[in-house]
Amino acid sequence: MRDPLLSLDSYSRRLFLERCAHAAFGLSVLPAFGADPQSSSSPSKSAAAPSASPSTGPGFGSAKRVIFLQLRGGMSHIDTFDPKQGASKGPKGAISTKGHFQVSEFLPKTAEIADKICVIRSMTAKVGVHASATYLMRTGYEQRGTIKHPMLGAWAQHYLGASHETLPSSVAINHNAEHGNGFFPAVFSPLPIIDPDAGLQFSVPYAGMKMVEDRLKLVNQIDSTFRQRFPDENVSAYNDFYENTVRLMKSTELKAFNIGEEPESLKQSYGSSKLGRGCLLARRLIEHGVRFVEVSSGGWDMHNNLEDAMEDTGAAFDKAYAALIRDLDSKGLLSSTLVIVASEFGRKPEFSGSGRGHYPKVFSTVLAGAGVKRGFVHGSSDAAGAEPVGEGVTVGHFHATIGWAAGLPLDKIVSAPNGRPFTVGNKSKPILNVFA
Amino acid sequence: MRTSRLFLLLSSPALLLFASVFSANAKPKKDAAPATAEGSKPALVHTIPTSPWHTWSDPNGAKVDAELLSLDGTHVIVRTKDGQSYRLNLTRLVPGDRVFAEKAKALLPGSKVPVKQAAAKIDALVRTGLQKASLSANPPIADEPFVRRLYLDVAGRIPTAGEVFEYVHSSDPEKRAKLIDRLLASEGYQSQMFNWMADMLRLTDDYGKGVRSYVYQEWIKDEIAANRHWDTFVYQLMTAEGRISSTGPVGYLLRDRGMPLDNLSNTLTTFLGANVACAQCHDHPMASWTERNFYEMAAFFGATEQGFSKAKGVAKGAIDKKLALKLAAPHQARVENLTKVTTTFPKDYKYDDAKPGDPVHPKLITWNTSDAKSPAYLGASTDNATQLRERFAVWLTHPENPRFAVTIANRIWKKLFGLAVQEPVTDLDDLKQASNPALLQYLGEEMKRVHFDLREFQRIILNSATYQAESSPTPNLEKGPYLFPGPVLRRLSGEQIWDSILALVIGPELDRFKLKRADDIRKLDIPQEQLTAEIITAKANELGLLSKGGKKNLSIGKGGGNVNEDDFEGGKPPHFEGVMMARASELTQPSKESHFLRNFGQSDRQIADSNSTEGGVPQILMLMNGQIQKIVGSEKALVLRETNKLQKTEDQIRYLYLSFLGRMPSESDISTTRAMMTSGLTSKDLTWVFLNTREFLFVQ
Repeated sequence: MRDPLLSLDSYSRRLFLERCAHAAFGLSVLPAFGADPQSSSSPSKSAAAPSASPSTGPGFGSAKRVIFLQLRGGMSHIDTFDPKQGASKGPKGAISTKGHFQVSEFLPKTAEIADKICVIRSMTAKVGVHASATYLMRTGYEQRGTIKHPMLGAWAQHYLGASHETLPSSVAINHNAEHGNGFFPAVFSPLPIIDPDAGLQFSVPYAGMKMVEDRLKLVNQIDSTFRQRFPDENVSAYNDFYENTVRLMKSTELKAFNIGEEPESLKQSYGSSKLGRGCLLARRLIEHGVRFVEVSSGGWDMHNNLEDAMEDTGAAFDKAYAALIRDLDSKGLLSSTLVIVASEFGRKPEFSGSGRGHYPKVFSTVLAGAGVKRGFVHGSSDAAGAEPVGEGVTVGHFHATIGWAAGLPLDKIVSAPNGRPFTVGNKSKPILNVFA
Repeated sequence: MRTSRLFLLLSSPALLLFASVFSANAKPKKDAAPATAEGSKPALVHTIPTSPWHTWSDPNGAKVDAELLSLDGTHVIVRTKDGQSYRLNLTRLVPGDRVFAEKAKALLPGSKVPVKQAAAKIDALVRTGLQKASLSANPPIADEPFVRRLYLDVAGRIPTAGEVFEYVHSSDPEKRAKLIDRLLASEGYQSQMFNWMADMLRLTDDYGKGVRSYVYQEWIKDEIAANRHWDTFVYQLMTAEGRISSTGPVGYLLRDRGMPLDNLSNTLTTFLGANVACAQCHDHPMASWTERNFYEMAAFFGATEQGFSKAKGVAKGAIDKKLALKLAAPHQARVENLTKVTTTFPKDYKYDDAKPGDPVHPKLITWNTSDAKSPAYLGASTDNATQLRERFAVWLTHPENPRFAVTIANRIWKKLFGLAVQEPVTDLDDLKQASNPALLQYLGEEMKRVHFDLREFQRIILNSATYQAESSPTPNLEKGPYLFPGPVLRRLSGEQIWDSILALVIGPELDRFKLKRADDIRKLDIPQEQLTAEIITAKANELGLLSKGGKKNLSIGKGGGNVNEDDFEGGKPPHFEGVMMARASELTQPSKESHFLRNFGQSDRQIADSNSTEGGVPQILMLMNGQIQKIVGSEKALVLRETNKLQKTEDQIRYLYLSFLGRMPSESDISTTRAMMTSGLTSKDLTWVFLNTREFLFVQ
């Protein structure tokens, strides 16, 4: 693979590095693959916190890739991974699994792969409003009116550099990127894939690749006077973006976005839901070198008709999730890929009408792969599913745990452009108990 | 050289076609009625028209659309769209025209002397700053890049081929000043200023729970159209009281309902450049702001209720309670003054000077010990809780507030030069840190001299040699401050690119389509004490909200992200490739994330000033393979229709260069492009090529 940094002469290389260093001021390009990321892509100064602890221990750096399933609307913990009896019991009961713990009868396929996953049943938060809760779950920070926090994919790109020469380091499937870069440069923003079946939007060359390249030659000719007059870092950044884009369009790696190449039987196992298609695409992407993939799925705000909705949305999840875990495992990817199931909050223990209201006080998330204990449950909720037993796991802890698995320095402080200090997981400690 | 090329063009048959461009551009203007702001008007009322364009009529019914050029006793001199000037006798026109002419005088380039003097003073201060660093100013910018830059900075879009041609062709020695005046008075200026404010004030359609900010947005547009001065504008944002369904400026505080501390933090950084974000939670580590300072400022808003109150008394009547609430509640969101300050020190307050939970007494911050003696700090006491916001607003917007004038002056400078005199604009705590402190101080003084008239202030800067210099590449600020030898080369903002594409595709007609979404909400503005089911039912019926299968939804503007083509004044905007061709200011605020505008950096309006000009692969994919190149290359698009009317290949090439890049092609440009056309590239293909040049995407 060509290292773009090596092909530059010393003057251009200096310009390139300066440009990256000033990413926060204006434009920026993808950090050079393989270059020292902290000197080339950081918009801000990093410093170790005074209480810096060595970043080693069980599970640290075990996740080379992360798939983050974000179930929008608020997944009912009781009707999925934390089934209850008595007054809180949902429309369906609990079933035994291969993992020596129970899940809801709504998740029969997940029960089959439960020996490969790790459920956290003592998640706790204070935010019960959709937008703010999604924000918290995606960033590990509460939403403020004065700063935008990055998602884990952007943190990883900041500390570890780009994960691939041509492919993006982060991808968001089924949903817009929502400025996942936070206060990092826009290039850290996940590449959005709105429709997993359609793949990367606008990647098919208009009128053919040859035509595009011929026209770009004319563009360069027409533009040459302007570019000579303005040896501007932002102009050259765009020149580079054009090169990157053309390289991506021509790259055989583009097939990473095409789930049409997957065998029909495998496609069927994931199901035809957007989540299923998204999970399949996520697997292809991480296989080709994308580090962080978020797959969103809506339909979890089950105030009414919970039973019907679980039979529909819940079943689609069950199918897709089980297929994803199996597929990764059979390809030998699970041991280095962290798969996360997260939502906004849980749902109330008590049924009102045909559904349940928002409930952030206790809920469940699920981890799998990448050095995480298999067939394990961390923490628990009380008998009603109303309170965490003991100290709950905050979203900050959860993020710190993922960051830890991804090999990110949790003790390092990054100063955002507004001067405020931030860390992965908001200074929380990782839950080391989940790692084998 | 340029003259001869122009001559070449003029002597070709293309001249006729260029003339036809001008006439095609001439669309009847809707009557330039003076904009009015609803609600109680502040003392400072400007009733001047927003544009010198007017339909002049005589008593017999003859009409002509023309722009007022000057007033000469009983005569007016006007210019029609085709560039012809006429002298009209006012006594032979209808009385309304006389009133218009008198009022519109304020729009005319009146006394040029103070503008030129102030601009010269700016140039001198910049020169001194450059000389100290042994640098010199950039050479003056040529006409072609100047006209493109000016249209982008003032009207928010590139000029059409006709507009460049007209300007370059003019031999009027005052043509720069005149174009500045014309564009500052144009509707494009209002649209551009709205985009600028929308980013700064974080304008969003959707306030949650069915509450929409349309009345607020339209109020801002009216304020801009009336050229309301900045101090008066901000004063209203701070002090407004009332419902969001009738009182526009309450939208400012309601934007952050439930988060008054975040709102205050934004207020202080945006309008005063006070870098207080840290002090919200602890004493500022570097600057002198303490957490106590912050809470004392917050107490000025501590007797203010901002909420989405439940509509009371709607339980009985013709429609059920739930429906009535759904209809009425969103329009009851309001800002109200209370009689008691409720601000207390936070639970985790850790300093010795107060205990958590203690009541906080309002107190104004100072930057220097001498500040407290300034007139901004004198006057009304803070005893009357209901007047606290007013007290705060008087201080905030006072000409002698230590930072108010200089902060907005610095922001406007950044808007026109790409960089502020002191960066970042949100931290002016230490004015000595400015790249050129004397310049910044003078800009603050000028801002006061023009009484916070942002249009006049921009007129001064635009007339300076510093603005009218060639641009510099992006400076590396770590190597030293940028001293403004000229403006900085910039990528167009998302809004500028989008609006420029509109200029290419539909031409100057782009300003015709005005979004008006607030009317239905205003109709549902019912004082709380009058809220009964009967009244709500009647209103709902009147608005057709209860008819089943009707277009309207129960809650007005549900979704907070959809603009309906019926919501426009001035006709329905055209669609290309299924995309609505209306200016960024007339679309949802902000646009949906999948929209072109967001891809190219329009702010999501969560954080102030977060419009971005950063690039990315999705942008390039969009420009090369996406909808936008289809729109620009559409046979229906103005640029292609006009190009294809030209017979000669060279003329087509010239027209495309003028349209996209605002300049004539050089001989070598022509031969390069012609060679490509000979080998099969069509004019449509060329639109793709120009769209993908850096020269198009950047402003010199």
